[in-house]
Amino acid sequence: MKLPVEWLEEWVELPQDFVDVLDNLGIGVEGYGDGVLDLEITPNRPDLLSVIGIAREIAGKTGKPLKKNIEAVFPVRNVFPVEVEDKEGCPRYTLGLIKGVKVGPSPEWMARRLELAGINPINNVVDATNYVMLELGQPLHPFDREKIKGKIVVRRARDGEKITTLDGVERELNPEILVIADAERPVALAGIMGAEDSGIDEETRDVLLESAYFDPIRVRRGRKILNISTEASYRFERGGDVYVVPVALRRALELIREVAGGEVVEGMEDTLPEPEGRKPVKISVSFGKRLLGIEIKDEDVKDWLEPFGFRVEDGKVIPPRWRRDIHEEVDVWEEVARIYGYERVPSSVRVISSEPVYDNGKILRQAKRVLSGLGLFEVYPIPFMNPEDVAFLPEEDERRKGRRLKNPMWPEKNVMRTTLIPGLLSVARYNLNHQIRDIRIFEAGKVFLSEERIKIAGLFVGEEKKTWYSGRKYDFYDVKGAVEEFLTLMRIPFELRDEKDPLFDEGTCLGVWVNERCYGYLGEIKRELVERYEIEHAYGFELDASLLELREPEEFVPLPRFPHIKRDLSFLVPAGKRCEDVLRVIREATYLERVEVIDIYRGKNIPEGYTSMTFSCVFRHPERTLTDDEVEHEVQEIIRKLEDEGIELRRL
Amino acid sequence: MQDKIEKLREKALKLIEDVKSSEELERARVSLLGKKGEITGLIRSIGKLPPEERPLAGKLLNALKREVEEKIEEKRKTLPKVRKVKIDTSIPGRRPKTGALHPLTRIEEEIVDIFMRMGFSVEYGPEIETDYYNFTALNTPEHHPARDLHDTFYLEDGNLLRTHTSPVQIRVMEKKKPPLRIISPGRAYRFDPFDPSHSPVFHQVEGLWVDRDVSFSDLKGTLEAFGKELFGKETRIKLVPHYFPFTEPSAEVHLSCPFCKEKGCRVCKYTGWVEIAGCGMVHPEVLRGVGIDPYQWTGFAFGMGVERIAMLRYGIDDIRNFYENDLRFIEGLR
Ligand SMILES: [Zn+2]
Repeated sequence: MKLPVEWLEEWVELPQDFVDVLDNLGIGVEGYGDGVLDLEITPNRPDLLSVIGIAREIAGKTGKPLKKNIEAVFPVRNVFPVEVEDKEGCPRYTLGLIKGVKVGPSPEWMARRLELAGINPINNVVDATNYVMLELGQPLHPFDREKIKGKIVVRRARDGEKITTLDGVERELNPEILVIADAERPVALAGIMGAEDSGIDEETRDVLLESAYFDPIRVRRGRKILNISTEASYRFERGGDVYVVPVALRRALELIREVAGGEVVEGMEDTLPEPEGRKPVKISVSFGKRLLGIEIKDEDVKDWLEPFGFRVEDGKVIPPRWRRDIHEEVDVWEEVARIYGYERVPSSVRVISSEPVYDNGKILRQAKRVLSGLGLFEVYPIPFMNPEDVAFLPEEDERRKGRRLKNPMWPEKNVMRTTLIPGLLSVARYNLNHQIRDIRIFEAGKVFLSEERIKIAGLFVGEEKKTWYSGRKYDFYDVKGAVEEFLTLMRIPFELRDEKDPLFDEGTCLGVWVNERCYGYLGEIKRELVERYEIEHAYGFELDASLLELREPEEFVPLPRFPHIKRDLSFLVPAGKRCEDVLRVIREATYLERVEVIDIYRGKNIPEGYTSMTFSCVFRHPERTLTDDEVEHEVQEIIRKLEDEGIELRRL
Repeated sequence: MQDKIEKLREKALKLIEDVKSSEELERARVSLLGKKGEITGLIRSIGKLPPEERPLAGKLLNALKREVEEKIEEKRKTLPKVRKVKIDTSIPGRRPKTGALHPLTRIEEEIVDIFMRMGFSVEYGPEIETDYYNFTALNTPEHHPARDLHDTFYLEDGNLLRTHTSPVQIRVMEKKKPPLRIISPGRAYRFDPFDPSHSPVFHQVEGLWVDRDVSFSDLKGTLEAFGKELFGKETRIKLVPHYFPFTEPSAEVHLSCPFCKEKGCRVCKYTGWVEIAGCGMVHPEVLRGVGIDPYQWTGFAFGMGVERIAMLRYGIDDIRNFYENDLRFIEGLR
């Protein structure tokens, strides 16, 4: 809200540090230039959307009274017929009359203040109502009496009824919307905006002036349906002040007379001449002390609150009529804290907790650290997905049906992601566009299927940075090795099996199995998907993070006490046989401790169609030293078994 | 041939004699006994001699080779010991590949660690929420004007993407009875297009402490301790009155600007202070909604912006950096 300082000064004496005073009272000063304050008013304080509201706060804090006091109202008498059909939607309606005005431009001082406050001057009658709205916080609406047929009725709109509002837009109404009507048609949207054909123009002589209290929810509902927001609706939907309604009416009528001439009819229609008083709120000082953690003496509450218009007596607080936000005890203590000053509240630190502290996300945090230690960069793609990215998946695949957004930020990314892979591909694309060729990335985040699930996914694209010792293109074995090492470091007893998943190329896809359940896949990402990101090859994995819960406890393994014997064996593996076929046989050997694949070779000296594979086998007996003969026996056994399978030892 | 051998012998012994360093000795060795060395060359040429000369030449040459080898070894002992092959230590080393955690993960971890040390446990909640948990249960019923402050993403099935991490407060209080001291890091969404200070996706850390006598003073002290841990001892915290429907009293948490130490700079818009969180005492309506008597139990809650804190911590001036995922950005901050 913009507020000219000179206007405020007309109402209250400003202390030197009034900007800090306002800040400390929770009235955020967002700007203060050219004599205009830009204030942030929170939705609970509609009373502060006015000069008088701000002035009251400053007066309360400095203890100096307001310079002005506007309280006078007109007596109730018949001015013009008023009927309120919807009493809930409009608890109080007042109407006044001024005759013989001369519509024209506003005087300079008024137009200027309105402009500084961000409101365009229109004509002296409308401007006077806006002026009073800014001054007292009560929106008012002037009608040209000649254009109102017979009476004013406050009622719900009828289905299909139409109105052309002051902004020139024709709007179709429905019974959710509260309107002001005359005997024939709606003449205003209650609390929102008037109709074009009932408003003030140069010809207007007599003005009917409305000042009312409308139900905040009703105003809000109406303006949401019609999708408009005005200075009036902004105030009404935050809650008006039922008591100020007739005060503002009289003040505005007198101001119109001042700036537009005419004769004010000394009286008004009023549908609620005696509104109920504010209900007292019971408080307990000991609760206040507990809640705020400050020392409060019984008389303090009275001393602190009364300058702000509260009345405090016998453990009860009666809020001022304009404070619509004070209903229960805690509202009073907030007020006390605000007036006391948050900056004066002492700081207390209590760190010991009687309960054990837990974090179920600890393993996931560790997993992320392990992956980054393995050379991968963690990325945070936006979790919205283009459904076209997964359109190639089979009909029954649940990843194809992402949960759809009603209001997507980007029209094509209109579902929540069901897999992390497209997001990683988009990150790869972004980096390729920035001449980064070495892409090793991962993400641990949620996918949104029928339930939210945490996935861990990674991607290798491009090639290692070129140095004198590196520069390889990434391939299948990079992603396989990364997953193997990751799961090993996380102590997850896994097994990789040839598998098919439609997100991965057939034949280069492995399933990650733990305890006879598949937790995800690794391999080359399907061409249909990577091509959408103009990427040739991408190798990735996607695992369900629930597999982290299957980690094995750390276990001490005693160091070996006896020496091992190592044998390197090369085999000619024919097409149709795989590394695994050899490993399986080697692993059957007694005393075998471990086996490594140390060389894979095709080409010179190797018959066409064969691959030479060299295995380094380590044998060890846990309780004694093995003899060469024992090992030789095992080696021969391996060679014999493999020969049976058509895999020959490569003799050098 | 004999002459030739004798001359070579003299030359070789002189050569070895004159050597001053291991490098020179090695060079001399190679020039005599290396693959292309002079003695090696002569030995190879034996085959070309007439057969009757070969035995003698072979004998003499082998003797020479042995003598030269001995001399070289002798000489070597007199020279200062140096590694046989000198390496070029200026060639860049073989660096292991290392990755990096995203800066938001790292800041979130720091925040979580600090609060865990203060006795807070960590809870998590769903990102797709119902209107009830995101708004209604947080004392923000339909038609509450505060809803305007949240530009919400809705799903076609009627759910929404949580606009803050506060629904976790409700979910935890529904399941567990006080005393409760939890934080909840996570992602939230608002319909704000990308600009230097807005992102449709962002992260928060929610905090909640409900006990018999948790006060506004505890809230202030806890946040102050947090600020000092994260940004250093001189850091100050200021609570400024504000409004949130689900806390009362409510406050904005302002941190003394870590860049200018309250003197005023571009980051803090020359105010000396930066906003990092919203907080307050849990509203009685919220407590009643989950069956907790607001006069028996009191509590505080806060929600802080992880991006905001990361930006202050690393001096980043554009929130979009976090979501572009330029690997140079992530690498640069590790
Ligand atoms: Zn600064």
